[in-house]
Amino acid sequence: MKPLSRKTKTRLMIIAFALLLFSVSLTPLAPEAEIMTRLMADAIGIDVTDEGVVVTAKTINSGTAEVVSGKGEILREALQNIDERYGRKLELGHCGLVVLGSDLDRDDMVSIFMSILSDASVNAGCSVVAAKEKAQKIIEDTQNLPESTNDGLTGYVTFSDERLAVTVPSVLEFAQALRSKSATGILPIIDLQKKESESGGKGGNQGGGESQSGSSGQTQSDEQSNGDEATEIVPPKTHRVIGETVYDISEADSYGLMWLQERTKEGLVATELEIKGEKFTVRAIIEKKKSSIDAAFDHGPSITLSVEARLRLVDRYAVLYVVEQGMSLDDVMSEIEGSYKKTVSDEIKVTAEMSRTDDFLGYKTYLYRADAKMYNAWSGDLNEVSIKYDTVISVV
Amino acid sequence: MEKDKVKFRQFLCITFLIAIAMKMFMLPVLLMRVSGRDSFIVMLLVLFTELVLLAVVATVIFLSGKKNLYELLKSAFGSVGSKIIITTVSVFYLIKLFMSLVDVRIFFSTSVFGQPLNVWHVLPMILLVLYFAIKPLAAMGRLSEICTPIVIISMILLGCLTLPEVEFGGLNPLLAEGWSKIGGGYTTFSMWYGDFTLLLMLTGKVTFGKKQATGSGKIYFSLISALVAFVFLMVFSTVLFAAYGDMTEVLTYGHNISNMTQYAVGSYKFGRFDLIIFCLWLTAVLLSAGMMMNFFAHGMDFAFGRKAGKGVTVAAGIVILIATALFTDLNRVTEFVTTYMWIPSMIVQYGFPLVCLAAAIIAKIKDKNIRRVQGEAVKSQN
Repeated sequence: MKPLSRKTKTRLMIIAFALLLFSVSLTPLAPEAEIMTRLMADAIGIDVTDEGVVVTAKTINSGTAEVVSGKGEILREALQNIDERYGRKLELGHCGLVVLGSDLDRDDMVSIFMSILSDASVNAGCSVVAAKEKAQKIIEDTQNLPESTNDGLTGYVTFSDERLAVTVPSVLEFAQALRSKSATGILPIIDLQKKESESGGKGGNQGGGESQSGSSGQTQSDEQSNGDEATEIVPPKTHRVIGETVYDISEADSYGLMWLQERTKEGLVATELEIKGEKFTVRAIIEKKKSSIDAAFDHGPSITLSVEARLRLVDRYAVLYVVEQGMSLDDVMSEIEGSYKKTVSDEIKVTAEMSRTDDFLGYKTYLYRADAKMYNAWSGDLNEVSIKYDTVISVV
Repeated sequence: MEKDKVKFRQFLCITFLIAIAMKMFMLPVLLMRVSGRDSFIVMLLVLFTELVLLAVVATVIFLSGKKNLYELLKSAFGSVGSKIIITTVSVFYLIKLFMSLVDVRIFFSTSVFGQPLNVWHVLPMILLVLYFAIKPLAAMGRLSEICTPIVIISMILLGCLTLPEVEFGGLNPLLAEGWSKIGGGYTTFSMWYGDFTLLLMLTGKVTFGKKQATGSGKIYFSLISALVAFVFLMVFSTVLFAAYGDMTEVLTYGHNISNMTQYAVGSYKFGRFDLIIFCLWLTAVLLSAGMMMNFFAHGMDFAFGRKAGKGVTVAAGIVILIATALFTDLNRVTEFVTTYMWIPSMIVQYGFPLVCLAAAIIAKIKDKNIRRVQGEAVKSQN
């Protein structure tokens, strides 16, 4: 093929530029950008009523947040209903949070999550939490969260997962738990409450000086400039177990979860000890934590719960006071470590024993993974499982 | 002609890209639908077989010396026999190219656009692939050199985003139901294996520097290149197997490894940049598709002559375009291929290299005999 002459090349360039300019002039005819035809969901809430499924979504478009909702017999219909009611398609690809209402049972959740994962409509890494009561109420009330709340409810939940000693499972993790041999999942419960009306702002609640463990507290409250009653987030300290039955467990019973769930970080831990007739409450922050659940079939099914943690004292003055009374520092630290070990072991035991009923820690899953043949031959009665504890605590 | 040759470094890059191209889309999900979490073992077996196949291909290239594929087959099986073989294999690669486009369409329909792609979306890729058919091999070699670092970086980035969040314990227990699921997974999806057979088109065309034009033992380093690619592939596939091991029914034809990259913490917060990274990974598919078309085009040139061959190649492009427009139910297409094409796939992709190996050995023996006869003739003259 002959190389093109300079004249021909120039002509081709001119034609190419002319075509480009012509196509730019046609832009008024171009259809509206696809993003403008979508409702970008930031968080969705799912409830079940006698009529079917109710989906409530907090959407953000062009910086404006609003709440939309739809109903249907199944999830897909409810989402379709939103499209029809608002004339825009609900886009779930950027949804960061799924809130599940208190009226959903395990079968409802399995069918919802299988649908979500099968469609690949929601990001598999999206967080899942349980609502105290109705998910719709949670989503609607997020409209009144103060500006200082970290990026709305979705941001707060992400913050909780990273910094508040709570493990918030993802859509995929939760679905895995429901479909595993244990067939049980556990979710942190989130709630919003009306801020108590007082003039001026309220001081932040630091999570309680007497709390054994849990969040270091994050409550923001402020008057809304538009006059709407402000809401504040109740830190997620309680959990909902979703198994054959669905029930909530208290904050105290949830402490063991903080130790046993691998991803939980930080958190304030307190223990009480008595030295020379005086009682002390010592507090420490979890600086480093490692936990594991190991299963084996040694003369029957056995589970070993191992926790290794390093705690950093926050009120060292209490320690120094005792040292000034004549006790050596090593002896004091040894007493504190012993006390913490007992506290932590007790908290773990409470949660571990509760899990025999509904297996939210996944004993059956771990046993199945350890030895499928022995698992199939086993009766499946969790009361036969011997649970061993291996707790190592160091205090600095 | 130097334009029709690739350098050894480029050959390694091509091997790397071909190793992952077609397997990274649908294969892990397809395997899971049949073998569940035991797909991990099936995948290991498949990749081991692929390495053996690559070793056979490398041996053909090593033994053939300066002879290209067509000369090799012609010298062993004659003109007619070699044309029949090449035509059969070329047509098979045309079908495989169509399947490659089906995988791309399914990926973009499900993961990117959320709606089915029509023929106009695929037309640019078909035109590009046809363009590859007329370009010399050196162009593909250069393209592979440019794409390989991009693909490697994108895979490392995706790995860094995804791997820390994965619970690999979900892979257990393997073989919980024995070996019953392994056979089905291994054989059914043979259309997605045997990619290294394409490398036979580079027979006699790999240069090893000035001192040695062709036929060096260095060709076996391509096994390392393939192994590196397989490590990446195995890691990402294992993530999928571990995550969905208990709920394989959730997986549809639209799922693929990119769904695992969604798992990247915060990707919903910062946008789906994992898709951009994954699209860089897709350049491997582009090269693989281009090579299939190039194989077809050169095969038709060999079988029917240059002029007629060009016409057949253009006609093939039109056929692919029409097939893309007609076959819109891509799930059915995938099901048809897995049900009816697995035997032909195995025969062509694993049989053809063995045929070429036989041809290379026959050619080597013939050359030896000719040299011996010539040597004896010279001696007798002296």
